[in-house]
Amino acid sequence: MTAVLGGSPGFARACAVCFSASDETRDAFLGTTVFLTVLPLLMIGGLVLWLWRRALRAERGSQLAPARSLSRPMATPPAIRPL
Amino acid sequence: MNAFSGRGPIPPRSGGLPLERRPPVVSNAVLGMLMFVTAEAMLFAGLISAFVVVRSDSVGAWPPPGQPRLPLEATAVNTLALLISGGLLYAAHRAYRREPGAALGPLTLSIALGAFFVLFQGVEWVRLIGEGLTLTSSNHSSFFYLIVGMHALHAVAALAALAGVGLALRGGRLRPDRFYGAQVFWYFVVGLWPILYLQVYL
Repeated sequence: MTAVLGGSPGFARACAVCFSASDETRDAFLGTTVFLTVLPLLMIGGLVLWLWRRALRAERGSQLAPARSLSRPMATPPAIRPL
Repeated sequence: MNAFSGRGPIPPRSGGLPLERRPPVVSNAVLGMLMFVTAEAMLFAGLISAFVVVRSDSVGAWPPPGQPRLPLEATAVNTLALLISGGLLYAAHRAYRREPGAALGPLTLSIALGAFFVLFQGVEWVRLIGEGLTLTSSNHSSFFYLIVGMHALHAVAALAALAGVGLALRGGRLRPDRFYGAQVFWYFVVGLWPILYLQVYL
């Protein structure tokens, strides 16, 4: 399939939506494709990084806090602000 | 109020001491809202991308000639109102951390400015429709109503969430995670609008 399509580039240009003689349109397609690819990676990666850093701070906070009796209810950890 | 909503100790499986349950890193309300906002950001990214491609492929001037002019100056003032609303909500957040009751004033102002933004957009829409800029009059107008309309829907939903927060705060029964979750939604609506204004109006 790949060999057939690679040997017949005219098929790719037959799409009435994608193909345009205008450089501006081709640039717009390329730019928006890059944008739509990168944006979710940045957002999800940023969210994961933020959660990881909060978890690290919480871990450090629980290590610094004095040992608690297991029979007492746990209070809000001091090292991280509630959100 | 413990925003981590820690529950009791984990009971042991077979004798021994119960383990302390570690509180969540972020509340479910905030995490859920962040995931929702991420999905909605992709929705708007798709709409903006389609708009950019159609605009690049247009023959002749853009916006198309013969169309009513979009209210750039009036919408710029409206944009400022929305940004101030976002700032007031942040002020309410800071006040809530110090003293929950002190957040009601800035929160109410924030909601009022947000409502003004939505209503003003509605007034402008009615005027534009009267002048002949409708959903089907051109590609430009179709995208304008679609993109700005989607933002308005999100703004109305976020305002409803903030109004619920305000009522709960007045009744003294507001949970912090609910407030923070509603804030995330409104910051998304406020932060998105300048991007839409630059792309669609200018």
